Amino acid sequence: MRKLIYYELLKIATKPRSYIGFAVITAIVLLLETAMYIDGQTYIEFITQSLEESFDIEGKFLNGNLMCFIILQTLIIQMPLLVALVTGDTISGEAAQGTLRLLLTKPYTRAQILWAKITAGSIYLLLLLIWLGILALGLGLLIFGKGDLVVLKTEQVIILRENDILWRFMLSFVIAFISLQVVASLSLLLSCFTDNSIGPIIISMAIIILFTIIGTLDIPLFDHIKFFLFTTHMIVWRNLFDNPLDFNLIFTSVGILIGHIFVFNALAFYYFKRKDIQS
Amino acid sequence: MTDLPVLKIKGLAKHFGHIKAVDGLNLHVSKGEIFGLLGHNGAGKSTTMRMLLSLIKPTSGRIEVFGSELYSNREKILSDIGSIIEKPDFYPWLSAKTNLELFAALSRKPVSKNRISQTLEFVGLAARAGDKVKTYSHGMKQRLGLAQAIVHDPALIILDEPSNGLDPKGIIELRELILHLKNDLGKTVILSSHILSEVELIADSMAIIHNGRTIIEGSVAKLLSDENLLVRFFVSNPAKAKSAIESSVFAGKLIEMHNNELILELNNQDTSRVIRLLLDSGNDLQQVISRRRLEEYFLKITSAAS
Repeated sequence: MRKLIYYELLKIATKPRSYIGFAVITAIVLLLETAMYIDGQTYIEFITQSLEESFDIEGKFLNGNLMCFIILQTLIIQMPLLVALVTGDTISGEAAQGTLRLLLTKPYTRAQILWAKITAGSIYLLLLLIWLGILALGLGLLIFGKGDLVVLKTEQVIILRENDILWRFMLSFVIAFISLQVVASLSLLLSCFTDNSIGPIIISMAIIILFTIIGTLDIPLFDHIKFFLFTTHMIVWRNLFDNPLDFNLIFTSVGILIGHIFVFNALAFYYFKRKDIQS
Repeated sequence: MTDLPVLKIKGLAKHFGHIKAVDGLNLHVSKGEIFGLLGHNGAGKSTTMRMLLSLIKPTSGRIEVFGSELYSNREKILSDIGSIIEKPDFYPWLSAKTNLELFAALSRKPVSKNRISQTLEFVGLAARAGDKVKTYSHGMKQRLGLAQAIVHDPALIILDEPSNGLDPKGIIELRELILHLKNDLGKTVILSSHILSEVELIADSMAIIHNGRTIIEGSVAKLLSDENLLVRFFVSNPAKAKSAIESSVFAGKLIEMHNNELILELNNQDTSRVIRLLLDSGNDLQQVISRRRLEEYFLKITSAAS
């Protein structure tokens, strides 16, 4: 099993496509941090204009913690695509290039092969998030310094003390990992059904866009299904920056996300084990 | 070659919806032989080979490899099989050596780095081992495919159309390589090929399948020994030759005559007698060409089955 995982990781590590995610994250984070470094104060003043009527604002509003929070909000839209680019290709890409049939003639069960692919995909996702953490939080703190985090919500302003923030970010990354694992599992499941490497990536994104649209529309019919859509729960990391925390809501969402991972992977195992390899 | 069966297939069938790709196939392959699986396009050869490697699950039937049922001993059996199915595909962004290391490592048999180098040397790719596979020609990929099939020293080698895309030199090298695997290393080889003359040259046994069923199976020598040959004689005096042939009782049947060329259907043993007859009739023999018997046999058998 270790050998299988090692070679799956080797394939990911040596494939140029795998580095698109790292490149895009680096570019976006550097772009945002540079822009905020040059023109951040004006931007912050514009955002906090309305607050100045009610509060006296002192101290450093723009700091590394706020930068990380802004970057997380921005990148959560792109991250699923970056993940699907790799995981959506794991089975179908191999089928398209003909290596799947060679791989399946080796003395491993199909379940072991799929498990190795899921594990390698998860490790890739983890590395992508660690890289995001290093750039967004690490570089942010280095450039903009420490400070309290002011979170502006529609109806409230939440101020989190400097020593109360790090664990929230850590947990946010854990929830982001679970959320993106849902996308990885979905694209891997779709990857089992086709021999075309682009199809699963596009369909995964189409599903995410569709679910997100349903989630944002205030139509009574959709209210009944919103709860069951994984996209509704993918943004639950934001609730970690509430005060007080609604643990019930967070745990429910995490549970639903894990449920989706389980269902998608179970379906992938079921189908992949029975699939006739004709490509 | 022994009579010990390496592969036994009984009543094997695979249906894709209403299409019967394989329909009650029976085969028997003995240890240490080269077995040719022949059939038209769509006869069921590739589906059969894929079922042997568990890529496709049979609808019904039984496959026994090395004396054990394939699906209940799949991992153990597959570790002792090497294969090329349809075309050799590899990870194009990796080097030939890395590709080979990867597939060797997944064979669950100990394969040393030295063995990998030797195998690359054996198939003539040592000089390009470090190059990415995407820079390889089809012939080179085919040779790498063969290296992949034998690197873990399997007892049974399954080759589906291994000569596809090879130039004449490549085909000769492949033939020698397959014969070496059998003669010097004692391997059992099952191969399918469209080049029937190649199969005739190297196979010990064969089966012809048609519409997913075995229509004939047995030793190549035995199956072809009863067959008449089509032989083309290029003579100096066609009229005299024709008259000599028509007056002879053993000279077979005259099929065609163009200028100084005569095509005769002969019994296998009578070729030398006809040559003497033509020489005695005052002809100079310029050329004698025997058409490959397996091609004739294959066409005859499959036409009859149709």
